[in-house]
Amino acid sequence: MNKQGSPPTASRTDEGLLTWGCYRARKIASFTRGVYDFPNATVSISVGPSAGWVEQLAGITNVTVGVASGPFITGRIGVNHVVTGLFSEGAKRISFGEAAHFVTGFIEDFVPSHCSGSIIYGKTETSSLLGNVQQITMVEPVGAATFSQIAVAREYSLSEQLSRLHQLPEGWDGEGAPRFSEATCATADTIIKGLWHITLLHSVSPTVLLGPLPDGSLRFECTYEDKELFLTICGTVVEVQSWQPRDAVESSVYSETGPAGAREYLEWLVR
Amino acid sequence: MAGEITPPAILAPTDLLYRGIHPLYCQGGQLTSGVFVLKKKHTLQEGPSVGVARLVPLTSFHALMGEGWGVGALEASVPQSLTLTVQSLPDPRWGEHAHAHAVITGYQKLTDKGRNDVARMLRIALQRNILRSPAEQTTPK
Repeated sequence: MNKQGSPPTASRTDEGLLTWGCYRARKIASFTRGVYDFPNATVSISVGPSAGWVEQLAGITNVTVGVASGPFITGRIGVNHVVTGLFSEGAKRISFGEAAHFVTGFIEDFVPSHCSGSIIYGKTETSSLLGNVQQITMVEPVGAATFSQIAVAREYSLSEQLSRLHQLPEGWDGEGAPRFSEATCATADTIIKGLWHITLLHSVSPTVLLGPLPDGSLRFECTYEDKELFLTICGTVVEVQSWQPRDAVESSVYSETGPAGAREYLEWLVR
Repeated sequence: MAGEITPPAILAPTDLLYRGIHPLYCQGGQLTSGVFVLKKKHTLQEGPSVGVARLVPLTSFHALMGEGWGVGALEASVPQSLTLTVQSLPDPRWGEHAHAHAVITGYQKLTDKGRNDVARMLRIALQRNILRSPAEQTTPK
């Protein structure tokens, strides 16, 4: 959809733009999406022509993420904002502690050796400002208050998701999937509270998705740095499976536990 | 016409496979595990359905999915590299594209841990090539 070619990896384009990472497929989006400036305000960002490459980037930036005015993107996201709904194709998210400066609207993956973030396709003149993203983020640490905000927002978001899943009728997948039981939802709620405590305790913000499975179980899919953890809830039983590094095919842990035991694995995730 | 092309029982590694994505298995563009669920007790017919791209146009495949569903694609080599099999299984419900229907199978022999491992890898592969995004839908209608 709206592909405009796939130029080879390059360090500089004809437009004089400095790139970081592989520039694999140039696509331009036509998309308007709210960027939620914690806790309540909404900032709209408009992106010019085309759609289909937009993916949610969720996370926190602790340096200014500027979206420069231009033909494709307008808008600005400020410092220490919870960011959702940024614009990416291959890139998936800006993890906490990373930052991005959107300048042209062309967004791509980083090569892993550059940094662990996503994105970035910047104008030459901004490269000195952007520099090494990790370096920038290190000089502007986020305070405990922000972490508290993150924890509250995370708990609220997951609780809302759990509530929505709890309301799903039987056959929600179109193939007879059962409803999610009270016990399963109660256990999931306990896990959410555990996540809240861990976020506060360790001042970290793992990425967590809560997804349904067609057998009536719920799964927390948690990632942090090079670790990935699945907590699959069925009644009061929590199936634990983890991978480290994240690109490993085989999991390193597979076991069953309860809500209390699951917390130990969440602790492992963020250590 | 349907029936003129008889695909091989086992697909070639280079075959591109379409996979439908239920809206509830996608959150903000991120696929969740539900997109590939592999159970030990699955019969062949209960395995994850896929469409063979060379036998069904993307638009037609998408139309076969439910409202709001998305479509992702992965090469047959992905499940095959995970010791799984992609087996042609014509489905009359797909009408003129019945022969484009195939299922991923062979995971029944794996351990619970192993099945989850390969399901995760299938999901990761699909995530890399989402052709039609599912509708954002996290609430029941």
